[in-house]
Amino acid sequence: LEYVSPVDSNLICAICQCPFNQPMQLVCDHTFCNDCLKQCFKNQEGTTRICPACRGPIEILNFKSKTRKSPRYVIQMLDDLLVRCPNSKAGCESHVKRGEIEDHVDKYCDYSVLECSDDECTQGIWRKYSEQGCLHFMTMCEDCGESMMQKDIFEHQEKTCLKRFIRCQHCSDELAKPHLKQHLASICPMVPARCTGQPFGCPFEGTRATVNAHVISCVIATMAPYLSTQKAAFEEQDKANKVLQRKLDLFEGGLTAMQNILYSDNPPTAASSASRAAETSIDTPMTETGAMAVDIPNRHSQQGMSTGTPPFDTPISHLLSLHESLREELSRLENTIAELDSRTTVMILNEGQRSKDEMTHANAAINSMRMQLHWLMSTRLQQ
Amino acid sequence: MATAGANKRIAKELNEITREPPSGMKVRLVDESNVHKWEIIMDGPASSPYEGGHFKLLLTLPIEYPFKPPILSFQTKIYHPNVSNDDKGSMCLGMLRSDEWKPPNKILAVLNMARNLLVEPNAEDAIETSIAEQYRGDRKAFEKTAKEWTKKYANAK
Repeated sequence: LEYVSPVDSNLICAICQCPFNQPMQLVCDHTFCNDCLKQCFKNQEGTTRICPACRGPIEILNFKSKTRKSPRYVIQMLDDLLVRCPNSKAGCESHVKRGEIEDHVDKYCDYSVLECSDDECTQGIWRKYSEQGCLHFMTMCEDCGESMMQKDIFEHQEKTCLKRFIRCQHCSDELAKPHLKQHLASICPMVPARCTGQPFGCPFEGTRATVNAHVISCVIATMAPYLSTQKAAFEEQDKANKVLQRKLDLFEGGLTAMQNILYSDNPPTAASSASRAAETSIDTPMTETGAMAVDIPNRHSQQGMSTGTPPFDTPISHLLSLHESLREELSRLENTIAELDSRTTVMILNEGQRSKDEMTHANAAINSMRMQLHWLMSTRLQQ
Repeated sequence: MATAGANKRIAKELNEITREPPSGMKVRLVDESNVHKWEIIMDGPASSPYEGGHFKLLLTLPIEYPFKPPILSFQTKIYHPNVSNDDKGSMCLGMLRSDEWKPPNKILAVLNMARNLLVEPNAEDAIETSIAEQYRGDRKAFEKTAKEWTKKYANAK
């Protein structure tokens, strides 16, 4: 039998390499076709047989109880495989389930050969003509004059006669049957057709001839090849874009998760974590404030872990990362303090300088006033 | 019925192998009308003393195949502990032995096994004991002779 599509390798007999036929299962669970197994055991002698796959021994005594039919579902799967009708060469195009092929050939297939209904005639005939009496006499094709058996004449007229003309349903040309297919596919000018620009919005419909005339002038049709390549390119881009978008989302999610873990105990740097810190502070009992407030961010980050957004697989690594971030924070604070320190020193220095200057100014003024006083006093004394 | 089934299996295997030939091998029928005799041209595997050589093998499938093992023989002379050093050049070990052959084994597996034997001879299960002795005792000398023979008989360059 010829299978329509490739068969799953699990349904293939290891011996004949075909899908199982009447599969039998041995005690060791290995399965083979009934015929293959018989064939294999025929070559073995003695009181034991050997499994062809695992060489496990099978006692010949009570042999029937040691081999059994495969489970029903296996047989069902095998029977459901589609096969071509064995009469496909004669012209039957049916694809039939393997389990039903016998019925098909015996009872239904039009191309099964039956005995001629005439008792004296011993020749065979296809089922589809079998009820028309004996057709085994020579006759002549009324169109081309070839002589043949009456039983072959239908097929001949239907498919091969080159002189039997039929009318094309579209263009009313007369032509031989074997040529009709090609005529319809590429020649007949009256076959209904559509503008090649139809997928891109050209509404034109007509026969092949009018469409051909239309296509020359149709803007959309001339653009059609270009448009379709564009469309394909677009679709490709779209696909790539979607993939990238997904990747980006993934990365962004990962990044925010990482940020949350790193900065959750540093409210000023991440606004979102500050707000979440506020949420947790509501959760904590209202009586504990002041000192507790310092602990809250830490607690929050631990909660963040236990409610489990993206974080780390073990608490230890989480704590380690926390530790790391705290240390970072510390060094940052240190830096700020040092900066502040230097700034204030500079400020103080500047301030001192200025007051010193002012003091000298004042000193000078006082000195000049003393000189004046001195001068006035001396003039008064001289009077 | 039985031979029809066997022939079908052989045709199937041949079809599979010619469609996807195993690396370093060319397979064809000696005579198109006889599926029981296969001719294989096997390239010596790289990094073995047989590198560069082209070895002609004949695979004969018995009438009882797949119930009897195929017979594999080197038509090209080869210096190898598992290949008989006579005009038959037969190779008989492992799965090719009739008491170890299993019907589910495929020809593809047989060919791959033969190729693996070129890479790694099996000195424990040798047919040419003197070569096996040399392979075990004096690997350098073995490789030298094997290379020479490959050059001489398997037209390695």
